[in-house]
Amino acid sequence: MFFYNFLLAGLAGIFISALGVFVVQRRQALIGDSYSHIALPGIAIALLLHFDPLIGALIFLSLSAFLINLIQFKTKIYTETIVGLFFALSLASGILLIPGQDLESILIGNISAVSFFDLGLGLVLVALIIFLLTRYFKDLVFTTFSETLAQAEGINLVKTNLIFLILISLSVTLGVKVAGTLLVASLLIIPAATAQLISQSLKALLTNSIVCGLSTTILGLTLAFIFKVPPGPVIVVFEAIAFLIAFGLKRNRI
Amino acid sequence: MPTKILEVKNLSVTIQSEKILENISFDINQGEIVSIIGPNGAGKTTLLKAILGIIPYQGEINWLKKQKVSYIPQKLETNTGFPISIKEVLDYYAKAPDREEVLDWLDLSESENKSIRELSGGQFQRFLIAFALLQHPDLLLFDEPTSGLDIFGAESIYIKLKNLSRDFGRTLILVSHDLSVILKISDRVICLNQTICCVGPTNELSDETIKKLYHQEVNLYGHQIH
Repeated sequence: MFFYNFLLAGLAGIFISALGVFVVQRRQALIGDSYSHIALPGIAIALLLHFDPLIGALIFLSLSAFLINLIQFKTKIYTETIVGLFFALSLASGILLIPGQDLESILIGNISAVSFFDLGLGLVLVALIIFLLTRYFKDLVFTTFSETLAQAEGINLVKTNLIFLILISLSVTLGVKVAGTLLVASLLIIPAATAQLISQSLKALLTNSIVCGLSTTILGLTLAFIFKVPPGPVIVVFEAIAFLIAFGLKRNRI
Repeated sequence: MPTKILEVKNLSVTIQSEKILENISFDINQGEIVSIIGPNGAGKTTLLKAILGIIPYQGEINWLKKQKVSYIPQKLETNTGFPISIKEVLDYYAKAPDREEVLDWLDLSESENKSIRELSGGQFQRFLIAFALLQHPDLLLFDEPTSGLDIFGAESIYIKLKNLSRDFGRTLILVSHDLSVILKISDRVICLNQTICCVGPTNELSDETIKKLYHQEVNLYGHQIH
């Protein structure tokens, strides 16, 4: 049972923090933040209809990825504005639909309840993330470096952006169980921001972000077990400490 | 007789019901350097993007010879804070056997392992040129090659560009505000302000035309390079 918890948390730590590199470098940190809440109405509906909440979250997040991408390229409204709109609506409907005692564990995570099914779903999500990430890695990096240049070299921006949003959807679903919607965004942002402070190449950036994401998740989870507190907030505290250490390292170097 | 490689006929671009370019027509010959000048908002970058085929347009853009086209965007269209090294960018997108040679020519050999966010303005601009050259283009579209560079940085870039055309037969289309320098290296100039105000050999460009284009006093030979 503990093994499931740590395995799922570890996978979430690795893949969310790797994707976080793109979220942060594409200057969409707040999008990651708001995006995680889009899971709420999906979870609410799943609870009402008695199917697995993670499936509900995944369906809602994936549909939103398509819808946000469509609105973004049809209307030229900034992604963050559209995500903001979805975010408000999702949070509102989630709070209205989810019973009080469940709401807390959905917002801040409750990994003690990891089932064999959750772990299986987690592994499927990881397989999808690995597949999309390896296949579109170059396009994602290139569009992160320069959209115009990527376009000139024949990369489809609309498609790449959609892949990016789908990757976030998959990773948010992976992290909801561990950290909760409120805090999964921190996993998406803080390790990547920490890595940015101390990295001078993409390889270093990805490695540092993953190391930070994985170690803080495992440390946070261990302490959460020992002190019987929700894992999400503990993980965030460790991430913040990692960020401060990296900040200190950078200052000393300059 | 120069070989014509590109023919633009009655090109118009409308973006969100605003006319950016109207009835543009001109030709480009192989191996020449053509500069596009004009005030801010004249549609210079839009013209390059239409030639690249990455924005919708009306009219005709005819390629008379198959060309590999490379684009060098304005610096502000790139994420200069991205911690990715020159080597990584080139490994991913510009694997070519002559990399060492090109980096050497652009004085970048020693910066290969540097992250792009550590590069100076001039180094970054040369890195973008290296990236474009390693695609082995026949035609280079270059948007504001020297924006943000001081006069020495700008001159070193222009000398490199002149060499590209003279020694390697590459065709160059440049967009620039840098009148005094660009006039030294261009074979022809297109003056653009939504429509084409004039097009012709550089030495026929007069103060009068420039004045008309920018709607104000601009002295063509205002400063000299020593």
